[in-house]
Amino acid sequence: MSGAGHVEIDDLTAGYDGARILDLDHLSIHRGEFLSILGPSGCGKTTLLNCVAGFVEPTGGRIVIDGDDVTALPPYRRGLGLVFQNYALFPHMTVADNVAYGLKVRRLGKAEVAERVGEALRLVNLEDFAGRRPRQLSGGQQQRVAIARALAIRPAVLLLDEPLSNLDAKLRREMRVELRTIQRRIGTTMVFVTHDQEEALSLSDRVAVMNAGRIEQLGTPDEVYRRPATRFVAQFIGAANVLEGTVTAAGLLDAGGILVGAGTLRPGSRAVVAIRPERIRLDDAAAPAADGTGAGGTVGYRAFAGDAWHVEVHTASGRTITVQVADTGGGVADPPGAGTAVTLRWDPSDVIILDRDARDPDGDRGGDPAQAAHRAADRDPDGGGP
Amino acid sequence: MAKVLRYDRGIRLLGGLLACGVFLFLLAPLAVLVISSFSPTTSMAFPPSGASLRWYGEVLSSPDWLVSFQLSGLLVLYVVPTTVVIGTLAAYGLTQGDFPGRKLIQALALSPLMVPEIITALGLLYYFHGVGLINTIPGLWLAHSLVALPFVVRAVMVSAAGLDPTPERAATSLGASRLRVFLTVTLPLLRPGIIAGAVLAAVTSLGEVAVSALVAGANTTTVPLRIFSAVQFQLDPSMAVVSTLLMTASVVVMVVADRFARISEAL
Repeated sequence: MSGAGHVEIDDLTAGYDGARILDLDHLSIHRGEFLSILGPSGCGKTTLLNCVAGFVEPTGGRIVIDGDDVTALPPYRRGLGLVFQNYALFPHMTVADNVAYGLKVRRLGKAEVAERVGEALRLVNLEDFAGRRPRQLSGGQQQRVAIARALAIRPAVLLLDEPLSNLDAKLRREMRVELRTIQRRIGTTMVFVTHDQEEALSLSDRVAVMNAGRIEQLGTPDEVYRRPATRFVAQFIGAANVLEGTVTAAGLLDAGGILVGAGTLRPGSRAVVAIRPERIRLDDAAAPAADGTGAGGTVGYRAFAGDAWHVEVHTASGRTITVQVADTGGGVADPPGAGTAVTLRWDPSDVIILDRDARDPDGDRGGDPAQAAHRAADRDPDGGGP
Repeated sequence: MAKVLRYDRGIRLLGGLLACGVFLFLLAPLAVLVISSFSPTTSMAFPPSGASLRWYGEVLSSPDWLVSFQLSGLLVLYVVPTTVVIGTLAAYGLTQGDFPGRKLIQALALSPLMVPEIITALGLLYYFHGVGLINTIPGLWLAHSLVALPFVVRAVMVSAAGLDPTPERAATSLGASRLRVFLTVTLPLLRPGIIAGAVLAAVTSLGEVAVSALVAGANTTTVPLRIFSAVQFQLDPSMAVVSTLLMTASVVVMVVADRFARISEAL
């Protein structure tokens, strides 16, 4: 990604009466990238978007777009495109007039307006609908008009606020592909706010995971998924099982009877690790553990979700571990029913170390620097994700 | 199952009868007036002994009535734009704005609805005497606007309170200034409330009696006032004719406004 410094956000804070909704150190958005801002509701992601768009006045910090400080600029002077969850089309105008709105504001000539409206509608495959009213279109078509309207002014950045959340599941998948295709074709920087991890992972060049007004992790989708920096990220994306405990003399993490082999942990220290539900295997209770790791438990609940089974296993110490078993079609790999005793197993390479105890004086200094940087954040009491 | 169905049908029948009764009660006086207006005799006796347009001819050829009709029409033309402009701006500001004293001003804007009309009329009588507006068209214009304004504010506030802020934001992000957004996006979105308010203002002005009675005079007798004074010394079917015409005017205003609003929505 060349052109760093396209959008630079520094020390941005926002909130009301002392309550801080947003507290951002730094965020740099590259030119032409598709950046998702992912987080639960109330995490400040929409506030961040509205700060960039100019509808929320930040209490501190600055936003620079292409070298210009826009922090104090009114929203109509920022030249950004905005797409809303509820489409926000002008109901009293035709599709063409909706798309032309921003061009007419810019006092472009009639011919140029017509040309750019046609171009924008072609981009979203709606050129045949130019004369319709928004209410005569389906939700997906309306959102495409909204995208065309925002892109017609050739914005520096297109901001999308949960644009797919009002669409049904099938349409949402189609729109995802279409949105990404449009972005690839025209190369406009897009900032996409969503609470849907699947959307964020499948669409983005980079994902910024937000929680409690801060960015917990910024990285490519596979980085964020495979190497979550914090407990929150591990649990919010992919609902990982987070285990916390003390490292035994054998170098295994003992999280209330669940033994986890996690490589280079120092005996006696405390550590936090995460294991993805789909990386856990269910074995017969009788099968002996080769390396002593894993845990015994009983199946508490299982549910079929089409592509996989969702299973909850209660361990002897009272913990609940979620396991996901991919469906094989033939039913041979179906997990046992509720009440069956099982053994949980995983490969040491699938264990994600979230925190090695910093109180340990000889704590591992050779770990992932990103993880070290996020240790402080990780110990926040808000770590309990979904 | 069948038993439940029959019970249901009974309830529905009862409800229908009740609704019919209420509508009969509401419409009967109006129906009596309309029917009486076609009476061929001087008596107001109901039902009339025949049908004729005699009294329509009489009313429409009477210069007194024509002057009153013109005056009432003129007042509607003045009052509706005045109250719609002020009421729309007030309602938008009161619902969307955030400033100290908003609730107080809101209560103030709607207060003429709470005060008995005769009290407003008395206040205006004293006040207009002082500034010489009694028995003038501007006086009636101001008085009717005052009475009609809260209806417009109320009607537009309903639309403004449910206003989705995102189209305005979308327009702003597309580069439109505050004023441009208001004129090209907000006003069209408020149109149902504005039209409802305009209809209410027109009907209020057309039918206003209490305030008009105190601030009008010999040269400024509106239609309702002339009816009021006429019935006091002679009761003939011309009253019924005038009432029917006035009612027709109100209905036409409402139907036209409704069609206008619907048509523009459906287009």
